[in-house]
Amino acid sequence: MTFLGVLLTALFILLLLSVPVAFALILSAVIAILFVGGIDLMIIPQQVYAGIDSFLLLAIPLFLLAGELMTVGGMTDRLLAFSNTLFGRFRGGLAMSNVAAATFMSGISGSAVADTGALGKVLIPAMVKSGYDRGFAAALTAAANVVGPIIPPSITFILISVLTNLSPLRLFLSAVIPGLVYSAAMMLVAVVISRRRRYPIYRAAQPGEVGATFRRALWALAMPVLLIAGIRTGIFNVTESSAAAVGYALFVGLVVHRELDLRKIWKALVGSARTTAVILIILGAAQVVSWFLAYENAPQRIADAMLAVAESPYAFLLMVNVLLILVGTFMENGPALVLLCPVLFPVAAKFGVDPYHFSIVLGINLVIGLITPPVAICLSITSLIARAPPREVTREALPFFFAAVGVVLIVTFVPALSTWLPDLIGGR
Amino acid sequence: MTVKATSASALAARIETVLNSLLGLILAVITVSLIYQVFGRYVLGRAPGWSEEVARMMIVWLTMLGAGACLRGGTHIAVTFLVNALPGGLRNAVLWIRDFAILMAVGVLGWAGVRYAELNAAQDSPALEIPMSIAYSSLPIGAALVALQLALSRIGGERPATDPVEW
Repeated sequence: MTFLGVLLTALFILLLLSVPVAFALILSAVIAILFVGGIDLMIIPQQVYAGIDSFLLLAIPLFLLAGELMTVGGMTDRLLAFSNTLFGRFRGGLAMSNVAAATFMSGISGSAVADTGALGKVLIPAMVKSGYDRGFAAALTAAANVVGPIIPPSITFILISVLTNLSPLRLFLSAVIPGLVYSAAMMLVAVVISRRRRYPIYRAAQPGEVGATFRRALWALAMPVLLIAGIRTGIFNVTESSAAAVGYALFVGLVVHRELDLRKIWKALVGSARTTAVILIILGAAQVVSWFLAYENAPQRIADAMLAVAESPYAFLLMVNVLLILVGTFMENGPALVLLCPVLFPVAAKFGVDPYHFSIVLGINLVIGLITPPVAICLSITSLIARAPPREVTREALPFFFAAVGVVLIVTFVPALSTWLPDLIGGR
Repeated sequence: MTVKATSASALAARIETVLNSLLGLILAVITVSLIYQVFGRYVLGRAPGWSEEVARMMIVWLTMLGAGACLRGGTHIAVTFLVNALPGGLRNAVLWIRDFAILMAVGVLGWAGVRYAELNAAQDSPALEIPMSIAYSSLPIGAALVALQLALSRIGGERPATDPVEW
């Protein structure tokens, strides 16, 4: 397997030299192909094209766009007002409300980074003003928003679906309960710390205020339910549902809330398109590497090696958890998924692990990487917003990180959390 | 800063603005075709044959033009903690190697991409019956744009970005 050594060494060195992941993948594939010899380099554009040219992938820019339109169109503020009236009466009310708002937001957007920015800009200054430590506010906001890519609609599970041909609807449904468990764990940590440090009560809701803010937030709260129902009943497929989400966001923003205008829409279009390009160029480049690995029969050989080491499905899943948290620490979800899916799924199948359950384990593990230093993009964003030193934010993030690892273990060893809901609703 | 340098930088910024506008337009076209696809199926009784093909061709164009548009701002995802920890001189040297590696990658993609597009010039797309080379040529054009933006920002003496500047 010298070709594999050449490929991985080249990739590793190029990544450490800070060559963008997409170009590092292409160049290391070129080096490996030249090393093996006898392959026309025309395979490179062919595979890059094949990696991007997919109907399902179109859901990524559209969900990003829908999320962005809803955020700038006033839905974020309404979700936040609703979660404040729900939790403001308790000690650490704003901290709890932060987690709740992140969970609600995850239902209209599929990206943790976007949610962290949107909610953090409002919540962190509010928390600091009412007496929370800057580091805590930043760490909590990052940890809470990591749920964005787990609860549907989710860019992460669209990627997994493209890479493995699993049903995107069933992936979405499988992720709902694990996502809520994650949010509950973050909420618990937030409450415990808030009580110990005597963080303030925000304010009690007036009679009728909960109902009133709920009705105002209903347009945003209803969206994920409408999407899933629409896909489940066959009114539209996942890609069309993402287009419908854009239509819905435009309607609510222009007609109901009247906070959208052409300038905001144009900005959202350009921003979502740029984010999409950054994700998809990596996917195309990774397709070259995947093709080369498959051509050399590498996934099979790696699978055999892993089968020789791990003796039971549980030993395998534990190994995967450790591997993923390590990978997630240095790499973002998209690139990590495209590299790991082709290798790990065949092994999981050999161990008899349910592929949907396995996808959820993969997804949650990788998003935790968003709050694991040294490459913790969500923590970097919130420490910038909070103007808190990254070291302090990292220290404050530790309890959340351990709680997140606990959630990973629970989700890993209780498959029913992932499989119960899709079995009930029956999304295939 | 010399006149040549400032004008190279200004040109790169100009190109990026144009590309950003194209990206926004392409995403608008994708959105409208897919909304029309649902509309067509339920209101007009049948889905148009062209909508999926248009959207899929457009997403490849969006990705390749976007690859060029995202280069200067350091928006492309990279592992940057090591290079950011290096002392100034060494960091600059590594970033020159990085840029050379990017150039090599898009060089191969562009060169092989031209051959691939030429090879498929005679093949027509299933629904629209336009040459597939219209879709495939996005690859060499995107690769050339990456190389161009890289060269212009270096000639312009810009400080090479490693992390997104947008936050």
